[in-house]
Amino acid sequence: MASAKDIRNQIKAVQNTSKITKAMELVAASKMRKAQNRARDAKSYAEGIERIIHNLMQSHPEYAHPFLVERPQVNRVGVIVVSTDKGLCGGLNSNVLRHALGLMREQQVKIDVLTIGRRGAAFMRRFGANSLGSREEISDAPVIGDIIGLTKIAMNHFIDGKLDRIFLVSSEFINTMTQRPKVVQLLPCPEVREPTHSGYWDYLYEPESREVLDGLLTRYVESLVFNAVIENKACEHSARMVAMKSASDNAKDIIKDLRITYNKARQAAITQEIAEICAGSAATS
Amino acid sequence: MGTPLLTVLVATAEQEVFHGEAARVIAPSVDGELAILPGHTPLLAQLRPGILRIYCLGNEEEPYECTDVVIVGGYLEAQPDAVTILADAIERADEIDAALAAKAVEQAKQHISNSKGMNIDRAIMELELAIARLQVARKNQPHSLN
Repeated sequence: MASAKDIRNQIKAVQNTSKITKAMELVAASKMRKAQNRARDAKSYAEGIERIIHNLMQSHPEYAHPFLVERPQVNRVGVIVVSTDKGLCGGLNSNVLRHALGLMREQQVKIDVLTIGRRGAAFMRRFGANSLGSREEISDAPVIGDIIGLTKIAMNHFIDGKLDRIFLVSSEFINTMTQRPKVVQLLPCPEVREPTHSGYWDYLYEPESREVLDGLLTRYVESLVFNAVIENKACEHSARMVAMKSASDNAKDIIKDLRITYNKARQAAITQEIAEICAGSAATS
Repeated sequence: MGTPLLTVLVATAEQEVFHGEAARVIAPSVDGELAILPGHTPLLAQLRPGILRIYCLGNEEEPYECTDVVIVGGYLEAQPDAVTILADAIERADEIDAALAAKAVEQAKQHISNSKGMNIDRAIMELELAIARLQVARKNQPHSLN
């Protein structure tokens, strides 16, 4: 059995760790609230533009933008992976990366990756995937400029025909306890499954259809990626808060167990001492 | 009752600005002002800096209640029953300082007289934005003084 002093040291160590996890939990909780608000605020734009693209896919534009046309043969696929910069956020990154890996294994063709977040970049490097670009250290209040460079690379590759399909893998924020990995086809825009506007129709365009569509579709891709980044931030802080909370709870349990062991050891030592004294006095009297 | 209305959504990438029903929307498209009423044919338009006006139904005395905001640019989609405006940036009247806006107009005018060639388009855009800002700020001023 460990001596009382050893156990005391151990308790001290666990207490110190729990102080750190508790602090991280509180920090994550306050960041989480802000990140969740931000994700909620940004949702309108993303939903609006998705609805427009959904409608656009059902119209019959005279100008077939490359982003709207499914290619007959897919030779190379791009995957954009959104992950966090820092760890200690539970299974968030490993879930997303496992999903991305599953998606990459499914493809029968060569794959290029683009990563957002240091964790994803490091993982893809280890895995030996061919990276076209990576964006790391995005602040807690992301702005659209943070991801424009990366989406530009992806879109240029797509337009040049170096990539025929691009997927976006990210975490979907459901609530504080639950985050789910999500895969969407970024380009070409996915085909409509449930038509809402039937018939043969087209938009009026101001100015030219080409100009409007070029701008709008660029915004669409940026918005999807930006939204994924914002949502990922909300996921990150939520997951970290939950992970740190369970770490703090664990530490509390361990301290409790150690306390019992310590008290037992102390009691045993006292009992033994009394027994020895009694035995000693019995022998002399 | 029975007046057809548009479901209007105005949003920037960071937040939602307006979501609700309106009777009319006037937006600055690149080819000129664009008024959208219920029953409009599907339309996709690119917007330039200017004033975005949303007319909601008001009370008996004033049939329409108008909300003005400065829009920096973006896209507009019209469907017969809905309008979606995706703005690059929006400034509400209470966020604008009229004095600063007036100064910006002067500055933008100077820029135009100084710049030539490619820069002139940019300068004109800046002037338009500055004028829109000033108009919205002036319109809102009496309210803010009360």
